[in-house]
Formats: sequence, C-alpha cells, structure tokens
Amino acid sequence: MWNYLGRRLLTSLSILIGVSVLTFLMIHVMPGDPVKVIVGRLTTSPERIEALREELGFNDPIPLQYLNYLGRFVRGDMGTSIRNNRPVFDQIMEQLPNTLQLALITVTISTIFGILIGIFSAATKYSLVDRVLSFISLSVISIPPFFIALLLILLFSVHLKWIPAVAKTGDPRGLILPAVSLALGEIFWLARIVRNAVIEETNKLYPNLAKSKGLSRPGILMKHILPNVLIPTVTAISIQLVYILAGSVVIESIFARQGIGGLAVLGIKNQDFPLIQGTVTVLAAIYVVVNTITDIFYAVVDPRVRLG
Amino acid sequence: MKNKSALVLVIFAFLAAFGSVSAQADNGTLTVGLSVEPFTLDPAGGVYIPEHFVIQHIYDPLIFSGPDGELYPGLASEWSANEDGTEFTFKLRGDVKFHDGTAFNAEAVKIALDRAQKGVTPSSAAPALLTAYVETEVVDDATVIVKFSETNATFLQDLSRAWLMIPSPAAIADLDGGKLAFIGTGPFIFDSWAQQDSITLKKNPDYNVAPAFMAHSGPAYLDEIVFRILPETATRLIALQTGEAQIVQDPSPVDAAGMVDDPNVQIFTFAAPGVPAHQMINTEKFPTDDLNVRIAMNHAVDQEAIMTAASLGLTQPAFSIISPSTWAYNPDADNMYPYDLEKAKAVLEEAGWIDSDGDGIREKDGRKLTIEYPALPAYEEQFMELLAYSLQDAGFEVNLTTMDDAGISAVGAAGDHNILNMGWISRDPSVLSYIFLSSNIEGGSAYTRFRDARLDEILTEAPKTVDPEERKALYEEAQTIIMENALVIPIHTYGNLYVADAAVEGFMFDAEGYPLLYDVTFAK
Repeated sequence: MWNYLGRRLLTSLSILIGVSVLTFLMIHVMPGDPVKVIVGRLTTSPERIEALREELGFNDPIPLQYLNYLGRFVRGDMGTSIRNNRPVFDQIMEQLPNTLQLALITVTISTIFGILIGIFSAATKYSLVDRVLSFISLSVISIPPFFIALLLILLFSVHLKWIPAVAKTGDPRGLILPAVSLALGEIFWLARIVRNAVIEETNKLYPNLAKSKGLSRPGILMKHILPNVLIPTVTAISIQLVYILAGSVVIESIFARQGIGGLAVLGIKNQDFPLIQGTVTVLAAIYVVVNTITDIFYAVVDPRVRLG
Repeated sequence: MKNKSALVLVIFAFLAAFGSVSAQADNGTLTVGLSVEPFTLDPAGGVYIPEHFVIQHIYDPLIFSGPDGELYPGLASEWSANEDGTEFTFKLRGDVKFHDGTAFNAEAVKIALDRAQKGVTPSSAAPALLTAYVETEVVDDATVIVKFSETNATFLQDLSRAWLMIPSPAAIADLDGGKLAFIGTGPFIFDSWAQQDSITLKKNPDYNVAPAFMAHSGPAYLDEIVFRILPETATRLIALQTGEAQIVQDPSPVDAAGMVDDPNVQIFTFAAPGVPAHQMINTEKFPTDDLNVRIAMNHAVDQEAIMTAASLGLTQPAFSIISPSTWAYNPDADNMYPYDLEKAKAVLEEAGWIDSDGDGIREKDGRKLTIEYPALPAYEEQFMELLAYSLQDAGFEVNLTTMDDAGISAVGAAGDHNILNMGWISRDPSVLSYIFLSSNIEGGSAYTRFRDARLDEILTEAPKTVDPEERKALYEEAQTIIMENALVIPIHTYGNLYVADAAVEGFMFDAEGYPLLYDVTFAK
C-alpha cells in the first residue's frame, strides 16, 4: 500500500513540475519579444520597455529564470498582475473559495440525487418508471448548463422574482440557481452510471448465491452489490468534480459570480502573464489532487490496484 | 417524481419568458452594471472607460471640463499659463479634505503628478499626457507651478482626465503595494471591491468641490453606488429587468433598439469626440501605395448602411478622421469621398485595375488587387465582414484574418497589413500625432506609414502652439492632408450606450462621454 502511495504521489509531483515548466515557457514561445507581448499595443517608451525587461527578469538566462520563478512560486509569491500591481496569490485566494464552494455544493447535490435515482431506476428496471426516467435523463443531459441557467433565471428571477439573478458574492441565495444549473445534467448522468452498474452487478452470479443462502433483496443490494458499484461511481464523481470546475467558468460568467475560471479568462484577455501562470497552475494542481485522491481511494477499496 | 417536475419547470420557464418586469430602486443605492471590470482605481494606473468612469467619482481633478467643453474650477480655483505654455500656475483650494481626513494641498498635487508621469503599470495611460513634464514646484501650501520642457497646449484640458486626478498622499505607499487604498476628495468614498463581483462607493457627506456645470452643489444625492461587474450582455439586461441594476452599460444594439419605445427604460447615447474608429491604409505596401486604390476604397464603403446594419443606427457613421464634436473639426475634410460604387469602379479602371480573367478580382500588371485585413474582433466584429464585402463589390480581394491584440501589433509593426483598425477618444485633435507623425512609424502606431514633411511639421508644431486660432488652422490643414491622401477609411464614431430605469434622473455625460452620477436621483 505504502509502495503504491509513494509511486502515485511521485507521479503527481512530476505532473505538477511539467505544468510549471509549460506555464513558465508560455510567454517565451509567444512570437516576439516577451516584454512587447506584455505591453501589447500600448504606446510605451523604449526606456520603459528596458526597465520592464529588467524588472520582470527577462535579461537572465531562461533556465535561471525558471528556477527563480519556481522558487518564488513555492513560497507563495506568484508575482503581481501587470495591470494593477496586485499580488496574483491574493487575487486567486479571493476567487478560489467561491469556485470550490459552488463545485462542492453541486457535486453534493448531484451525488445524492444521482445515486438515489440510479438505484431507484435499477430496482425498477425496464418498468414504465425506469423508461420515463431514462427519457428525462437523456433530455436533461443533452441541454447545456448555460441554457438551463438562462431558463432558470427567466423563471425564478425575471418572472417569479423569487431569487435574484445576479446576487452579490456572500448572498447565499446567489448559490441556488448556479448550483442547480450545473447539477441538473450531472444528476442524471450519474444516475445512468449507477443504474447500469447496479444492473450489471445484479446480472452476475454471486447475487444468486446470496439469494440461495437466504439473504433478503435489500440485504443483497446493500452488502454485496453496492460495494462493487462503488468504483465506477467514485470514478464518475471525480470526473464530475473536474468537469464542474471547468463548467463553472461559463455558469459563473452568466451569474456574474466570482471564480478562478473567470480570473484566468481575465488574465488571458488582458495578456496578464503572471495572472495566467498563477491561475493555470492552481487549476492544474486542483485536477492533479482530485485525481490522486481518486486513485488512492481505488487502492483502499480494491486490493487489485494496490497490489498491481 | 422530482425529475418530472423539473422538466415541467423548464417548460414553464419557457412560457414564462415573455413577462416584463418594471424595476425599482433601493432607497439611495444606485446599482450600475459595468460590462468591463476596471483594472485599478488608482488614477495613475488607469487606461480605459471603466477606470475613468469609477475613478472620477472617487477623485477630483484640478480643473473640470464641462459638457460644453469649457474649463471649470475644481481643486484649483484659479490658473494661468506663461506665454510659451511651458509653465502653469495653479491657486489651490484650501478648504478641501481627502476621505482619510488629511488636507488637500500643494504637496499632494506634486506627489500625484510626479507619480502620474511615471505611471504605475506598463499599461497606465497617464505618462502619455505628461511626456515633457519637468517638475511641479510647490510655491506655498496653496500654490503650485507645473513645468514642462516644451509647450503643452493641451495640459489644462488633460487635467480633467481621471489619470491626472489627485489621490491622498497618505495612500500612495499602499497603492504602490497593490492595496485597495483608493482615497480621493471626490463625491463618493471608496468602500469595497470584490474582484469579478462589485465595487461599492459611499456618499462623501463633506463634498464641496462640485463644478458649476452640475445641477447642485454639496454632497451627492445618492447614498451609495454599487458598480456590479456583469460581463455577459444578456445578464446585464436581466439585471435591469429584475431591478437588480438601474443603469447598465453597453446593451447589445439589438436589445437597445428594441427598448427605444419601452416606457420603463430610457436610453442614453453619446457620440465621442476624437479620432473615430477607422481603417488606417498602409501607403507603403502594394496595392494601397497607389492613391487611386485608396480613393476607390473610400468610395466603395457605405458607412451609413454598414452602421445601420451593424448597430441598428445607435452608433453614428464617420466620414472624416476627426469626429464633428471634436475641437478644430474641419467640415471641408468631411465626406470627401461619398459612397458611390460606380465611381469606385471607374477610379480603379482608369488607374489600370481591370478584371481580365473574370474571377471578380481586378489585376494590374499581373498582380491582384488584394487587401490584407488583420482584424481584432473585440473592436471590429460588428463591421469587419460588411467592410470586406463592400470592398469585394468594387473588385478587391480581401483577406480578412482575425487576430488577438499581440498578433495585430506584430503585423502592424512589420507593415504587413493593407488596412488596420484604429481610433482614439479625445476632445482635442492632438492625438493625431500618435497615429500620423512619421517618427511613430517604427515602434509607434503610425500604421499608414505615410511620410509627408508638411504633415509632420503640423503635428509637431500644433501641440506647442498656444494661440487657439493658429492651432486650429494647423489641425484643419492636417485633416485636409490626411483625407486628400485618402490615408484612412473612416467607419464610425465611438458611441457610449447606457440603458437606465425610467426612474433615474440627473444622468449626464461629461465632455468625453463618461457618465457623471453626482446629480442622479430617483423619481418618486
């Protein structure tokens, strides 16, 4: 187990180093002088360009620049935004909690309802109820979250006036519509996976054995089938978490919410390289952490993984 | 059956989409939906419309510029200039306090201008206004002399811009450290800023600097202004509909045109002075090095039709290098090449551009009439394709390539474009120097690459000319030279577009089209 854990963590670390090299090199692979890329079309005197080059460390050899960059980064110094001089780290810390909050609430909603609906569907498989649920699943999964978001806004904000459309950060009512818009598709996607996994396990031979030993149907489901369904379910949830983090950029922008995705987009629009580097690295780190935790979880529940 | 009811709700939402809602304002709080978030509220760090809009509610200038274009006392009660326009003496008000309680004085002006001249980020707009700045001499607590190494004929006007407004000296160290220490003397006090969310300003109860062109004096009427950052066009309009915002910036022209007759809203538009959005034509690259080609391009473009289609008439078409609301505008240089497709074709035929192989593209000496058009969708999306079609109708081949800002800069600097978008909002035509002075061809923004001794002379001398009549004559001549040589295809004046709840009263634009909310109240 420890051996597996060590190897897994080493892999994650090497991915993170790879990400840092890529984000660092980003500005150097852009065509032209990096300082000119930063300044863009703004009219700037040659003296200012020179001063900026020195200030941003572009006069050093590239490997040294990378080590300096990495050293600062590890200490939490991600540089300052070139548009407003604010520390990138502070800006990320201001935005990240909102994204994580939205993502976690969404995943919680989709996990609870997804598993319940999935088991219910499997238990009533091929019945009329199951078929109706399948139809609804397909329909809802096919609608992109941003469209769901607009419909929800029209209904609950514009028409019924129950929930503000663009509540400010900190107003808990502002979480309802974004979370529901993001969760709706995920609920039914997860339900499909849980349903199919349960049905697949039910069709295997061991439930029959349990049945012949005299176990009740709920007993078989809880004790024997669900543990086996756990692996595809956890995989699905971890994929969902990553997917929601990515999807939240669009939803956050529709509801004008704070979020790290929006911060990254802002950096890209304004060619604010320190900001792009910081946000991309933090987002990549979140993905790596989620995937690592998922893999470790596999090892915990499935002996084949940690021995393999 | 949660799922079924969810679907029913979605369907119901569809049906409910047609309801209309009247907005209502919270007592004394005005929420403004901004389309773009400011980078900073540090005057010496700002660049563009959102910064200007918010900054001018927190800080005051030494001199205000009224909507009538006249100058009005601000933090300076009197001013005078020496004969060559290199030294400006200001008498300062002694009864003004910053929001942090410290007194406004001569030292604050010196610190502000010294800092503005350097700029605080690579993108700061302030340094360009103070290129020949030498120093600010503090004569006594209420008198300063600002000195330049050469004549600065636009300094007094430039002072009204947000970039040269005066922050509290006590806040400078925090500002330099990237802290949100936005302390001025203005009608509103900076309260908080949650990035990507909102900026909140509170009323300054001690405000006493309001210029004479305002409808009242003393503190502002509003208790609070919330600038809500709403980058999505649809969301901005929804916020207005639900009453969560009372004024929103830049609605889509389609939405705005649909609301013109709605009694619940009012629409404010402003045609900005300065250099309108135009295409700079490269006079060094084939085939636009031929004057006839440039003239034909101008005749081939129907700005009126393009802007009617692109903005439903809410943005005004432009026909010269200076928009009519700009000082020193020359009507004789306006519309020199009215839309006339037949004439465009005739000019090209006469100059030897004939479509000999019947592919719809004219040739001369075996070379095609091809225009390289690198475009930046952020500014050109609404008209770039219509512009390309107009030229194609006259027998041009147009290679329209969309790029980002860095790509456009690279192409422009290398001179690989035939046409390139440009524009500059300004009350004074002095900005023409940035884009037509031949010394700005290399490393600057003179993308026409036009070299003319007389134009250079005018653009160098005019900013140093103190006599207004003389200066005006110079700029009128510059406009004539630019248009006679068909260096540009004018497209449209910059328009500011705001939609407001019908209850909003007292909304006004300043001379450059930035909204002033000091007089705003809500109708009961």
